[in-house]
Amino acid sequence: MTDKSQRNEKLRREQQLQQVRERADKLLDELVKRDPLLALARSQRRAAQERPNEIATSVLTLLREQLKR
Amino acid sequence: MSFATRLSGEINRLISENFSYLGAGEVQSLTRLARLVIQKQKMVTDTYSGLVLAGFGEKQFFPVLQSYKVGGVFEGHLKYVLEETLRVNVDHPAVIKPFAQSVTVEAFLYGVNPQLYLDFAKAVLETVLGLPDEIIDGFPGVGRKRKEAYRATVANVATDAAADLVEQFQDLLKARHYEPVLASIAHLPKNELAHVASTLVNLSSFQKRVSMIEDETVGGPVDVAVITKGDGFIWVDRKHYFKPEFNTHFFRNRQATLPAPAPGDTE
Repeated sequence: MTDKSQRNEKLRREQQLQQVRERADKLLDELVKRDPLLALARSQRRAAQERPNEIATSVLTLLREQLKR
Repeated sequence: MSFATRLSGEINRLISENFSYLGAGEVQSLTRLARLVIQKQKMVTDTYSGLVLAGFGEKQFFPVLQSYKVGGVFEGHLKYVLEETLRVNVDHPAVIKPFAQSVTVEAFLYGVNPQLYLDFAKAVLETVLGLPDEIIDGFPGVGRKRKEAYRATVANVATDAAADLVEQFQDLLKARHYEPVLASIAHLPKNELAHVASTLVNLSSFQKRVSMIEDETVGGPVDVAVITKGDGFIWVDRKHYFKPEFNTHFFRNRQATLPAPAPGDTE
């Protein structure tokens, strides 16, 4: 197998894996609608991954302080 | 006049005072953000608190629970969102609802940590959906077009099998863990219910205490109350900032301030 064909084969497999992941995500979306525990786990995961937006928090705090005066 | 228009000058002044290093485009986005964090339903993480109301309405025979997200007061208006209403009724004779750091209680209820279950479901779906590709790729002497045709043929079978596997696991969790626990809760006496609630909180506390990767954010004495239609709100366990045995006068004084029972009142 030449370098070029090896590269092509690697690329093809990566694309294939990506497609599998996308199909799995789509299927998970469907399962989440029917399974409350999966829905709960996913919303918890998303909340944990959602980094607190520091700028938004700062603006909010400043506005609150200003509105209190 | 809208909130944003009324306060646009104020918002711009605060932004220029506190974020003077930002460019014009960023300031514009920030102004929009300042409006959205107040006006939109979504609350910025770490800026809200939870409030749970539970009990009986005057005409209700079964308890109801409502949980709210509260995000502060803006110009005299409380920003809040009703997150969930849970009702006990003939079809749903019991509910267990953990709040805040709920993972340990959920793991007890369902027999599996929800995050582990999510990772397991993802891994099963990716493995089962990817398996046909691995097998078909390994066929010797078969051309690419033919392999693609095989893939198309088995794609739906793999999808059904993957979904079926996760759903079977889900059914097992319900049948072996969640439903038996709920069924017993529905029939427990009041003192046992209080014991269940405090044990679940203590379980979370213990789990965090022995974990190397989590902070001890649940712990200390647990206050427990039982609310029933007949007895109302009853403390089963309540902590004081002092030791009751050293301060008996506190309880005597409090008793003295209670109104005397009216003549004819019976226990």
